[in-house]
Amino acid sequence: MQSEETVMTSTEDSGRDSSTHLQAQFATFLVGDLLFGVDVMQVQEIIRYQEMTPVPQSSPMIEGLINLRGQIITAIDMRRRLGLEERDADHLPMNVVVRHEDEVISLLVDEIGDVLEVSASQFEQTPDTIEARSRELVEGVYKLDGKLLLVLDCARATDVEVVE
Amino acid sequence: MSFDNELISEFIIESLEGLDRLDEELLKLENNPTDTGTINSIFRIVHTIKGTCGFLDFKILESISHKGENLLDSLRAGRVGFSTEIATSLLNLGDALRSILGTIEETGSEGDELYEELVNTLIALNDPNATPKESAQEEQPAPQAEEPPQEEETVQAATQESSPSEEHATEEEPSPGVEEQSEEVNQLLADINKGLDKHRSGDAAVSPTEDSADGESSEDLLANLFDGDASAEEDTDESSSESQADSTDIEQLLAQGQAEQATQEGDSENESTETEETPLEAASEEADITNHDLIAEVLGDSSIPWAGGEPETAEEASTPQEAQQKEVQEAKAEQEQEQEQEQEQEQEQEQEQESLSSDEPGQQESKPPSEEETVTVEAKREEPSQKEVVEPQASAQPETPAAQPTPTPEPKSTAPEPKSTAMSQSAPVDQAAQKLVKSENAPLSKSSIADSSLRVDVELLDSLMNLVGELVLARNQILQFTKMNSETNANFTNTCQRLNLITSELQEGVMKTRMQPIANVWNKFPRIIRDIARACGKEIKLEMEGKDTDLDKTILEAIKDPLTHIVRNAADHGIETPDVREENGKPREGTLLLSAFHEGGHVIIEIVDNGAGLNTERIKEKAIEKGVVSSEKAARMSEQDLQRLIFAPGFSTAEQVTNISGRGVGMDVVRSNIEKIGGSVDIQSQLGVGTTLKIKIPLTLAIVPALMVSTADQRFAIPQVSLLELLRIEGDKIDTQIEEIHGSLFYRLRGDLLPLVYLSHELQMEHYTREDEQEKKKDRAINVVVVKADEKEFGLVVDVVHDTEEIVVKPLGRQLKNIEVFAGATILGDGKVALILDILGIGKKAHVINDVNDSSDHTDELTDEEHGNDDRESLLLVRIGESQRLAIPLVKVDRLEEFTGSAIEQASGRMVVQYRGGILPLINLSSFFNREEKQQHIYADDDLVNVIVFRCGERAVGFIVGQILDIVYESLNIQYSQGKEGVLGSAVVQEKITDVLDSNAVLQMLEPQLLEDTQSQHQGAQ
Repeated sequence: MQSEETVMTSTEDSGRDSSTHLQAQFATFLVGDLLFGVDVMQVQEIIRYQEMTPVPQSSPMIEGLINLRGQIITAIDMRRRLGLEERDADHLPMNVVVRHEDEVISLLVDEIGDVLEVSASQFEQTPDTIEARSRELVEGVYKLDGKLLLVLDCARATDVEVVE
Repeated sequence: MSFDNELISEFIIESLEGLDRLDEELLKLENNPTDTGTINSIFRIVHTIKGTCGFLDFKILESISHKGENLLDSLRAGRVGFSTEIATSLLNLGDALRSILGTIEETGSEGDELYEELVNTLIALNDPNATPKESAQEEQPAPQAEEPPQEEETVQAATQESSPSEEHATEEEPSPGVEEQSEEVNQLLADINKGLDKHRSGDAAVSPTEDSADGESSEDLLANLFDGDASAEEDTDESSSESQADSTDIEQLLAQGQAEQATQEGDSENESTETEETPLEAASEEADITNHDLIAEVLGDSSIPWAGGEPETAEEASTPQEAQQKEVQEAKAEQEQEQEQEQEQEQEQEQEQESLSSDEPGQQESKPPSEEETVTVEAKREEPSQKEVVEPQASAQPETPAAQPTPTPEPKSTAPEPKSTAMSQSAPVDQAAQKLVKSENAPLSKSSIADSSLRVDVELLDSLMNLVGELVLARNQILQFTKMNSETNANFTNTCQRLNLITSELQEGVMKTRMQPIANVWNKFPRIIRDIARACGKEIKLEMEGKDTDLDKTILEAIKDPLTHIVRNAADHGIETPDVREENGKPREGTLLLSAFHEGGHVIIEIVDNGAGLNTERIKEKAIEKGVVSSEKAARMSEQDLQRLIFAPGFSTAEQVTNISGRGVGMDVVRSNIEKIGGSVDIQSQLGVGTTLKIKIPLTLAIVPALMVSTADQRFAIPQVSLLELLRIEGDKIDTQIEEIHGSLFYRLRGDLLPLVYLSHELQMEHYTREDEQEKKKDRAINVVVVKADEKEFGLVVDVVHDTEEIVVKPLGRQLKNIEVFAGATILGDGKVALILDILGIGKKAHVINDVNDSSDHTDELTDEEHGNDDRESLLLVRIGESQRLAIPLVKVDRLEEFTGSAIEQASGRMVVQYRGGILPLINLSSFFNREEKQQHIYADDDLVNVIVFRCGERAVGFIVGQILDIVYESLNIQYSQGKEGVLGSAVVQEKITDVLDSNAVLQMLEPQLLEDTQSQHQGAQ
């Protein structure tokens, strides 16, 4: 665990909690200054930014389509999804390719974090203080040292059609 | 009993296939009731189902099919004459069986339906006197090789009581499977014999006494072999085992002969009512086989060349056999030899039995049965001593088989045993037996008909198809890569080319696996036609051409229902009753021709009938009555357009709604279903002569040719099916041939107005600005892709037109499904994703195609402006005089023209203009509404006059308007009607009060002769 913690300085100590029984592993990423986690089992892969084919007439949250080894995948910009401000043009996002039910979808995020192991004891309901737009996409939070890990509700996050 | 689900599902599949065949054969039989071959074939189908379901313990299924079988048997024996009732009840039987099979498939059990009525009918139709035969039949499970699982056969064989009639039944029903198998067995025996022979001849200690046993019959050969080996190892035992073998041989031989004899007896007993030839023939055939088999064996054994022995394969097969035998020999303890002999003999018996119970009509010459039999026996008996004799010594012992009355059942009942007993033997023997069993089975399964094809899960094929799609894309990428890097070495280029070829072939091959002949769908039509013909008292002949035309399975599924509907319609509405036909000087029997063929990447299916044809007058009335089309529009429609009205929703002209068709849902669904798979349907009909429906469908859905275009630097694919032509409008033509009316553009394509749609505008691409387009239009050529969707043509303006490409259609994700302008996405040669345009969606979005009733099969021609459900429509807004705004429904407008004042001439006090080779009368709307004395407005030579051209049937009239303002797509809500002439009323359009033109009223006042052609009700409309 320790060795993996290269990017996320804020989560240095999280690995020490791994002694607890009920554990879950989350692939984490940053969107703006929010730390999100998706159950590792749901993450198919993480790839660098790829050239996208924009889809006219679609929701602005949809960045475009990417070709993932012959499979056409819709990419959702998480910043727009969360109602955050646009990322800098020179900062290319990363693709977190998640599998939800039968659907494979890419979430465009700012930065990729570690795979974190958390225990159930750290879990808590989503606090009301989190901004509303984000809160509805969050299943709950894990209290890490000095930081909250927001568990992303993949079903809702990818449900762009409904939001529109 | 517990059975594998697989077994049951296989049974269901096979039975359903059988039932499909049953329908076909029954109809064949109806045409030719005396064809015993067909009766037999039907009997066999029912019999097989009955036999198998008996084994699988489906009681209802068994009992129903059994009744059917009884009836068929009576039919076969000639006790009951063929009649339509019988055919109907048998067809119903097929339906009942199908539905039970369906229930089994769903629930695993047969359900409660007992089909008593059907059963009673079947019993009633059967001759009640025909009992003795039936009881024999009753006990008869199906011993045919047709049954899929091997054990099944064995079990059945074990449980059955063999009876002469049964033997007969088997003989009488040659089926490809059986034949094939018997041939296999035959060959196998020859192989084994040969192998053994070789083995033995290699053995030094072959004694003359052995030779006598040698040729006798197949069942001895193994025994002999073992004897031979035994003798090599232990000479002392030789004579005893020899004699033993001998006696067994003779017994077997007698039993065999007896079986044949009994069969013959059975034949004559059971078929006494039949004509003499049949049993005799059957028996002779049977005897022939036996004879042939045995001779072949004997000859194989004695190494005399004989064509029937097929020495080549025999030799091939002999080597492993030999090896096995040797192994066995070595491993075997001496005392086991006897046991083994028995086993081998029994196995051989079994084989013999198999070959006996099957038929090989192709291989022998016919001879009188009794002689044949004798010959067989002769050969068997004489061979050992004389060796070279094959030709009969016909005289000798015909009595021999007859003298032994009992043994017939014996081989049958023991036959199944050996396998199980063999298994329970001590290890080496066991192995040997298994090996033998294997070696028996292996070649059997290699080439029997059932095994030359495979059932493959469609899902697997789909995933294969997908993979091939990926491969095609990867190939495209590689090809593009090689093109870009021209310096790459020649080897690599060659490899790429090979990859290209192989991929193409693979793609083709995989596509083929999904292809099925259209006959799969057509095969049920004879039945449908028959039922309709009977129900309506018609005589209909159904002809089919191009049954083998292959189509993708999914497409086949998709066209199944539409086709069925069309065929039903043709039979029900199209073809007249015989009396009517006769009156009209046609043959009493109507003909319905189905033909299918390939044409340029499409499959064309034509349904041609020589029936009454479409009555366009009636269609017109009906269409108006049902509000499908307004009367004035109907009056303007061409014959062809009127015929096409039958594809309009909610249209049915059948005076009498039969239970077969005419419910008013139909042809519109047919059309939309066909269009859904990228196909099209057209109709041509001549009253009193007939109707031709032409369906054009693509070969496959997964890979489609598409034209690549670019707009705003993004590439899009336009499926070739919606593509009509490509236009490039350059220079002056942009100004002269493109009309612009407030953003709506029309191009004059061969005299017709083609609405132009800017793709970038419809997609609201970021680069788009109105000025850009103006610039483009002014500066350089514009590219127009003329497309057609929903019978409506429009021009799609794009920046660049690229090549056509074969693209693999991939669905869009859930998030993008609701965007109507895209049909999917694909991956291009360079690995980038491109969107596939949905032309229909774009047309709707641009309001070029009306989106009425939310259904795709509604052209605006069918929209009734006055009573449409969704009354939004395209309106042409014009200014008349100083300030009057006038709205004209665009559908009434044929063209927009601009004439110079000099072009306007006078003819008999009227303004006219020479227009397209004719004279176009002009009406000045401004004068009309402002009640000017006459419309003698004098135009200066260089004045530009805007004229809206209306078409009234064959003639046209032009309305002069002040200015063309706009085309809007709005609902016309006439709120205020002041009774002004020529105006329907006023409505608010674009937030301004706008009068709505009543063109009919204007024309009636000013150009009444124009309306003379049209109907009187039409004139009275206002």
